[in-house]
Amino acid sequence: MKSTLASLKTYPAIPIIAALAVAFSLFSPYFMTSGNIEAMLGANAVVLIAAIGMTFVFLIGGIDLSISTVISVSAVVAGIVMAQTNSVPLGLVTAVAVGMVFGAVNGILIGYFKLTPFITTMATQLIARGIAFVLSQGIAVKGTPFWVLDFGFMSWMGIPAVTMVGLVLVLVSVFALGKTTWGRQVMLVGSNPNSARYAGINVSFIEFSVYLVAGVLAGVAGFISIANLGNAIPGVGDTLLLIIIGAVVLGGTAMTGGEGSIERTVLGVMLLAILTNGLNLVGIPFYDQLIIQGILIFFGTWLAMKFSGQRAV
Amino acid sequence: MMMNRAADTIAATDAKPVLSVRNLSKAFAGKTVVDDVSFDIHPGEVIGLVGENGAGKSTTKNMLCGLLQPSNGEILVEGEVVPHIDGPAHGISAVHQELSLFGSLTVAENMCISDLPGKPARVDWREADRIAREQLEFLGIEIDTQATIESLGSGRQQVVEIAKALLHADRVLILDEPTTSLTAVEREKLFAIIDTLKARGVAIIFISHFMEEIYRVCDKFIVLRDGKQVGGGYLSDVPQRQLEEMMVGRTIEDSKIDLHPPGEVEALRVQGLSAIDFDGIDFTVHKGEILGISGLMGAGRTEIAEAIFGLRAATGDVFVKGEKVSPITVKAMKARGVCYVPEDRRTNGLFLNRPVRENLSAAAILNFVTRSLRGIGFRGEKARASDVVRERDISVPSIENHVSDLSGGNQQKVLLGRWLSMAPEILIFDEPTKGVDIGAKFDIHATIAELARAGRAVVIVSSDLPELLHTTHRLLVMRKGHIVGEFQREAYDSVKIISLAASAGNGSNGNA
Amino acid sequence: MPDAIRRVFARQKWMAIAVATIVLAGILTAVSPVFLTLSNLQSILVQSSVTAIMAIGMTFIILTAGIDISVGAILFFTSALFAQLMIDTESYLIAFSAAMTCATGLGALNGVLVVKFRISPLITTLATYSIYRGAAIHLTGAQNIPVPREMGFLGNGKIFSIPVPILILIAVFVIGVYAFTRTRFGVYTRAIGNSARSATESNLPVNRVTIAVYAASGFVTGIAALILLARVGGLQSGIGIGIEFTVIAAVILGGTKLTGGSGTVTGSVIGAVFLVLIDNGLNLMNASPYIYDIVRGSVLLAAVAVDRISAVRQQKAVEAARAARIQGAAIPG
Repeated sequence: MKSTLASLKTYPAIPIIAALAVAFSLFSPYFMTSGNIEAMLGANAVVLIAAIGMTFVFLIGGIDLSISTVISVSAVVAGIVMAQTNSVPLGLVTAVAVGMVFGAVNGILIGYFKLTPFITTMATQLIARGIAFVLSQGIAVKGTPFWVLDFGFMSWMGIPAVTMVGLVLVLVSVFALGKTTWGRQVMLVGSNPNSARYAGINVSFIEFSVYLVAGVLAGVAGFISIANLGNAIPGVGDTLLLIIIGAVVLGGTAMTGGEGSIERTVLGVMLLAILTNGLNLVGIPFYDQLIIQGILIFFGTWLAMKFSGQRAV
Repeated sequence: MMMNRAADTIAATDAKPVLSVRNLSKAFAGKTVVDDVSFDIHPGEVIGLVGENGAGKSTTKNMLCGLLQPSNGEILVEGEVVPHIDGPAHGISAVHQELSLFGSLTVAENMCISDLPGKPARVDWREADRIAREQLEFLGIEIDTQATIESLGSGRQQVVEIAKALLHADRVLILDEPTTSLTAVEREKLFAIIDTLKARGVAIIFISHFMEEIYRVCDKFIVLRDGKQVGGGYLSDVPQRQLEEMMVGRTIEDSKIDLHPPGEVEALRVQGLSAIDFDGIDFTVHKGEILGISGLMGAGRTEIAEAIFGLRAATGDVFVKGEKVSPITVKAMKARGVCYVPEDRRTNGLFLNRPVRENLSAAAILNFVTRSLRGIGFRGEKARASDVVRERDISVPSIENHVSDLSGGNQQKVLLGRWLSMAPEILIFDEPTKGVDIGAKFDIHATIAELARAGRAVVIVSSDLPELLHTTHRLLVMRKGHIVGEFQREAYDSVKIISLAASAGNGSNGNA
Repeated sequence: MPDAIRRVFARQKWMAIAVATIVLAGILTAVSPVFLTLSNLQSILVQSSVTAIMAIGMTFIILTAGIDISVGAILFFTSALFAQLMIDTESYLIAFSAAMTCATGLGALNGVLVVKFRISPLITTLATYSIYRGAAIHLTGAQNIPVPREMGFLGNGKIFSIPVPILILIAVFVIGVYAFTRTRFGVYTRAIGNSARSATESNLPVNRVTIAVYAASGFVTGIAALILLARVGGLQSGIGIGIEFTVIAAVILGGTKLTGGSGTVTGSVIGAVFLVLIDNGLNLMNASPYIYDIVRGSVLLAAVAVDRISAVRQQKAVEAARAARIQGAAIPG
């Protein structure tokens, strides 16, 4: 009993996930089929990868509004590079590099120049979006190499390849956060940046590196979006911000820093994925899904806050 | 001169007291912090409430202005017992150390905000300005009522806060350490205002460490020590020395702990260290020596400690074991075995929502783990953290508990444990026992003495003078950013030290 | 900079953006002969009216150290409700009063949630953003709905040869400045953002004012919605998407601090005009419309950087004064 309570505290999303899964499988026989689960996993790989980055940012008490459109700009630039060269590795490297540049700019401005994360990333969000649209002229980039398209359809034991990429990144991130000095310092800086400075932790560098990592992950997410959608779409990230932030806070990671984990975010992503998928199966139109999603994010966050005894998210 | 002042007000005591306190007590969770305090205050009288840190002054103040409900005893306003103090209704206002002003609002807006003239939809700013101007004129001060608070110096902010407080309640005014952030000139102006208020029949309770200020503005005094009222009466009857002895109280000689004689080898030397809060600081600490730095709040003690540890920019040199450290950074100081345990453990020391284990290993993770790859893995951390918890006698159910679950004393021990596991050779402590219970205080003092015996050099920065007298070999006294005195343990004289640290003026009228 | 001028800048926080706007206008005048014509200037003000009106509301929210991401969704919802009711009832009175009530109510709901649940305003309004937008599409069945032709008067009509949106903007601006400077609501708003602790200690109605601030923002967003609807001639699915960031950018450019307590209504309006001037300039240069976002983002970055630099400078000046006091005090040992 006690351990159940303890895990509730750590993973407040679990009961909601369980309830949703049961409800949807009652409503739709198709919900629990492997085909549906595979589709659901594939459709959420981009959000999963981006949400990992947002989790790191939340853990140091920051916010990165630019993640959504950095996904778009990395996808577009990588798409163009691949259309020109037909080289997939070069495309991947480009996507990562574009994400890294945006992450580095955010990181330098926030970590070293101490600009407010909200406005800074709001500005880079606009810039990233603008670049994505300018380069693509506002339309999907054509000429995606076949291998990338194939990759989008590949799967192994019912798990899509794109999701595999996400899971590998989850594992790496869990490891980095839990088993390395860097990860420890991220948690400590998020818990109390003053104390971290007094303990001799290079707070500016940790902040910088976290935004850098978030940028890189957004870059990878951008590349994955090409595989998922078949083309690099300049507006791909525009609607993702709510889902990314929602998944992180629903999972139980606080915006105030030092409280949360990658595992929780995975559950948060699962929760929203199941919700969207289930509501689609039940035949709820997308606009009503928006309403349900909003209500769930609000009350889920509130519950997560209550469970873990945080004061404010 | 002071005698005259006191004599003047004796006549006033014939009148009914505006505020009376009878057997006032307060206990938190069974621990009594204020014990049986009684006094009367009459219109036009100034009572000095004196005592060391933790003597119960703040708690008493909070009960008098209605922020805390007494556990025992009663408060009478104009001879009537009141069950609960309501500041505005009873005419009692307090100016706390932390001002309740709004930085980007104007002086007039700040003063009138609780009771704006005019209608809600049309505030009469001209009237507000007039009220503010009149009130300031009444107090005899010239401040532009249209200036924003953030554009004023701390002295003027203090005056605005007083003026604001008196606007709503003008029978009893409580001033809590009103001069700590003021310059000498600002302080004189404040005293002039207090004199004006007195003449107009306001009763004032003046809380301060500064003996000379007490004698300058007060008629009567109450001394609190460990929550008990250990003295009171007319200041004209009591010489300053006697008052200071009442305050310091406990027989220092008895409680002195055995210290080994310090070594001769230089461990830490500071030369010509200057920054915005201090100037030209020189001192040396030897191996096995415990050096105390005393001084009042705002004297620059903490700032020096932080500058030595690389947390603040400063000019001048710091030598560790004879070797100059350049540049002075936290990393460089840590690498040379220097550690600093900060004053405010909640804001600058601990990671409250992280487990005890992580708090312990935060400064020296490599001393906790065995690693084969750089930066990766925490093997051994739990075992080592458990060891530290045992060594430091930290009482906590598990090393995975959040530090916020611990008591103040245990939190301080966690912080101590963090830095001791770095195996430091030079330790700088800032207020090492602030807000901890007696038992933990004893443990911490014993640990410090043990460290010195083992050959470590220790610097203790503290505003708790008995603590310094008790635990150090040598003592530096600071005032306004300068070292103004040095005492050897044999020659410790608490009264002398207090008057040196608290003497008025900043040199121009230095009469130490 | 001479001291007197610096003081004016410090006191009137909108001065910086005003100067920047004048400089930009000067450049545009030099570059293009059509810029400094009455019709172009009018069209700039008309174009900025929607964001400027919304920015006036957002200023009050940010002054309390809050934020409202959902204003774009409120804008959309109000437009949808109005357009739908016009179709259903053909009554301006019903459509208008329902739309304005709803806009105010949705804003107030944000305020209530922020006050009652103590979740950060960012997350709260991000959630309501989704809810309001979904509800609006639910209402209209995701259809584009035209509004009656005579509605165009609100967007393109003129009274005494002044475009109606400009008149409305002026009215909202005057009321906003009045509320900001003359009412208890205004001074409480600034006080709460300055220090919630002091506000509570001074017995100010913190919760009521916070709710009122979000409600007022909802109300002016409702006004903006009607202007927008009139200008574009009907409900379109893209209305309000991303506008929250433009509105926040206008407020920040106007010199209001995200940390609360400091800012002006005037600055936000000039900020909104400034953003349109940039668009206007890019338009004159025949730039791709996609470049607009890049320029806006860069301007915003520049603004926060300048702000940060001046804050650091101020801090240094304060420290220097403190150091002078310590070093001036030669103390005998």
